[in-house]
Amino acid sequence: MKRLLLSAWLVVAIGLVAPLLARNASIKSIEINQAIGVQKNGALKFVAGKETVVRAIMSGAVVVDAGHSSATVTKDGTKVITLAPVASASASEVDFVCPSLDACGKWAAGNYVFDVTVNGQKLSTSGTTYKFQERAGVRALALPVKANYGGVIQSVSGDSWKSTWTFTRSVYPVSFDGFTWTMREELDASDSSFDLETDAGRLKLWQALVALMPEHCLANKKATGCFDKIIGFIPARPGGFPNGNLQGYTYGNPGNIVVASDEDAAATVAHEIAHNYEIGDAYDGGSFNCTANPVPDAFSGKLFADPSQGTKCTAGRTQLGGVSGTLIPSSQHPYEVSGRGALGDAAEYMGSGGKQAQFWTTQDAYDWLFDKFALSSGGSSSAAAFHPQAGAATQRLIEFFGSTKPNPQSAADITLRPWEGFLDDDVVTDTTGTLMIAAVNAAGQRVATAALATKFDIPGPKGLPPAHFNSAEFAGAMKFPTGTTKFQILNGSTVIRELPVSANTPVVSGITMSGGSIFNGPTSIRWTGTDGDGDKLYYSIEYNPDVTKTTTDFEPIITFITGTQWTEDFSKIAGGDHAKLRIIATDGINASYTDSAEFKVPFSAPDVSAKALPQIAAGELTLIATVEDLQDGELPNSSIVWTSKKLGEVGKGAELNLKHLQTGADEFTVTATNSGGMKTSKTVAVTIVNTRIR
Amino acid sequence: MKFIRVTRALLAIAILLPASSAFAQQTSSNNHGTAISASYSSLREEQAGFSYWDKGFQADVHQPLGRSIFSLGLGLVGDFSTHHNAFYDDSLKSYLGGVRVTFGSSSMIEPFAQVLIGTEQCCSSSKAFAFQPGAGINVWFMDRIGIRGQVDYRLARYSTSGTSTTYKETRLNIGAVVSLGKR
Repeated sequence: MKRLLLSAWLVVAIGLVAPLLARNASIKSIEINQAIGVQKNGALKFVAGKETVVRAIMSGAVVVDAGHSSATVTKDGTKVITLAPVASASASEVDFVCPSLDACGKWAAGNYVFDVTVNGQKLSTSGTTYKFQERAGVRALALPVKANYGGVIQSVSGDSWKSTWTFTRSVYPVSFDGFTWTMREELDASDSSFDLETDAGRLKLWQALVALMPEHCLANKKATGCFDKIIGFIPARPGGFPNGNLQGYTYGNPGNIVVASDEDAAATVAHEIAHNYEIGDAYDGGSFNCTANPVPDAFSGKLFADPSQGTKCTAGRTQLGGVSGTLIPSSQHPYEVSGRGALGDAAEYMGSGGKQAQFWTTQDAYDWLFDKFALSSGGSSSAAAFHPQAGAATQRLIEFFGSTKPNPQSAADITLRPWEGFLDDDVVTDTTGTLMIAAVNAAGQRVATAALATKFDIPGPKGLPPAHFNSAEFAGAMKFPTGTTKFQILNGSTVIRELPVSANTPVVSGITMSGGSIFNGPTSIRWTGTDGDGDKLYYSIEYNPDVTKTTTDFEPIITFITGTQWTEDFSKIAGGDHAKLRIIATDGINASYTDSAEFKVPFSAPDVSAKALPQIAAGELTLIATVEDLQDGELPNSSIVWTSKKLGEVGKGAELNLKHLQTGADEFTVTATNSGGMKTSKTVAVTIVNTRIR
Repeated sequence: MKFIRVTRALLAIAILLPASSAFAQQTSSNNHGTAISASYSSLREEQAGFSYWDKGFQADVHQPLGRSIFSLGLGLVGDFSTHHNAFYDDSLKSYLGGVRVTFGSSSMIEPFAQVLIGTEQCCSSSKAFAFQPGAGINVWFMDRIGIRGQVDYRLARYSTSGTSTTYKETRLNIGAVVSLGKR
């Protein structure tokens, strides 16, 4: 008996000491990862406000003892939070994720220090600068299109297009709130003139999308209410419907047409927006910018800046097998924070021919965009001011639209759409070029000029070579000085075309709407327009849901129609208690507008979708709600409430990280409430499976 | 593995001995008989930084050896328990055997202390060497029937993929005890 007890005590002694030895793997390094862990040339470029994971890279696989593992985050000398490790059975990387953005101080701008402990082994980033910097955001307008395919009319089915933007937010160096995705009601392009099986129809749809950009944005692209991209989602691929070959198309910025039913539509959104920032294609045969995002050496394509020239990159990049795209090796630690976590080998989203799950960002694209999004150089600043109603208009401007053939020689080479004069307080400066517009006064003097930027070769639809066009669209805003009697379009010293400025400005008045003062369905709108010169008039309709708020503005409903009647379905647009319509009339140069009386449009309920991310740790669950509200845009977290069938209310916010949920089935319901008190709920069923290994 | 074999041997002894209780009673110096008990049991365990109180069941068999040292009764114990972890929806089962020392066994109040070794099984498949000292008290309110309160502390050592981890667990039991022999 004595011997037995002695042996037992000996085993216990060994049992207590041995685990300490077994957990002895050390921390090789600390990695701060927002999308790609190993940055280009060892850079440490971090975006303030972006979801972040702290990773301990271990010398070997470890079994994590949560009681002796943590990551302390300190910003500018003040402790922000101590994070617990994400549970895993055994790993060479130990991850520490914030339970929520708020819990980590929203990763506010500043200098951070990370002190990480894994199984008692410690390492700190002290001495190395981890600076989280503010970056400019990206703003996109997205809307479904009721499309015409050779006479077959189709609308987009399902809501998948609504959440395609979140991928872009994940792979771009933008903050959590830095990607603005504004959704609008369906654009009716079912008319035969929009036939997507014809070049003319595709062009017309693109023009219709571009026309949704508020007019002041031509003078100041960074102003409030403007967009970096306007994306129209069509239900199926054109170019041989129903088995078309076009994954979308564009005739240039800011409009893009994306096929909503494409499995990799989310990557296509990121792809197309990236072209705005000179990121080239990464598929064989595309438009390459080897400086921004070099493609595999084996690929051949055209120069992004000049698609008339062929090019190849020689930076040593390779291809992901099975995908026409640049390889992102797993050794560079691609990582989806609040999602799939660490990713394996992937392909840059500028590639083509892969599944959505295969696309991510390369070091190159991330690094390039980080610099492009510096507040002083690019992107969109939400702080940019535009106050068209403030009475501070200081100059008259004119929006010009048209297209030109290369090196135009006669008026026939130029096609113009109606121009529109307006008053604005944005400062527009003169520019000059070989091809330009000049405002000319009665004395024949050029009192203002604007160079025309035209591109006849642009990156092709995703997966296809650059597209060459025989005509290039142009649009912009320039000064329209008092005394201007005509505009000239010049090619060098040759006047190609002249537009006289008539003496009289059109007058629009008498807006009437059928059905009282509250409108919640199709409503006929009528007005009258006159012009002292008898010029043909074009009308645009804009709508502001609440003129008493500074957060809303007049936004286009329809542009340049020639009739004096329009039917608008108010059930599909933002509600407001002080709504107004604005009718703008232009004779092609001079323009004026009138506003309707105030009316009410009932609030519509928020649009909500909910999903649960795949469970990556025992007891942990991330719930994602995509909430869009026509009235409020994005709702504050306090208006998005999650409840569990088992537990009751479990939290608030568009993204909710729950911990310590017991094994079993549950239902989580998110309820979003807008400022008008309208609610929408969506439920997602989840089965929690907690497993452990001892 | 050696200790698991030892444990099994002890369990077998503890279970088989009641069959030969006549022998035990004949040699007993303090009127102990074979006793079995069944208890409601709660086990406090830790996993991944969190602690849990698992609910379950415990049963044991105690066979006095019929010998005493300084008026302390010696006996063998076979012990089984199972506890359900609601978070993981799995069970911890233990199969233990060892030695129990009883105090004042002739009175109504019978404290005891014990040291058990054996195996703990977790998560359907993993097995650990377990060492479990503990103490309790039997209150014999009838000749052969009593109630029991007991506290145990368990060290369970698991080995996975070449690394070993020792889990520390506390077990609380409250239940009934029945003596099969004459007290």
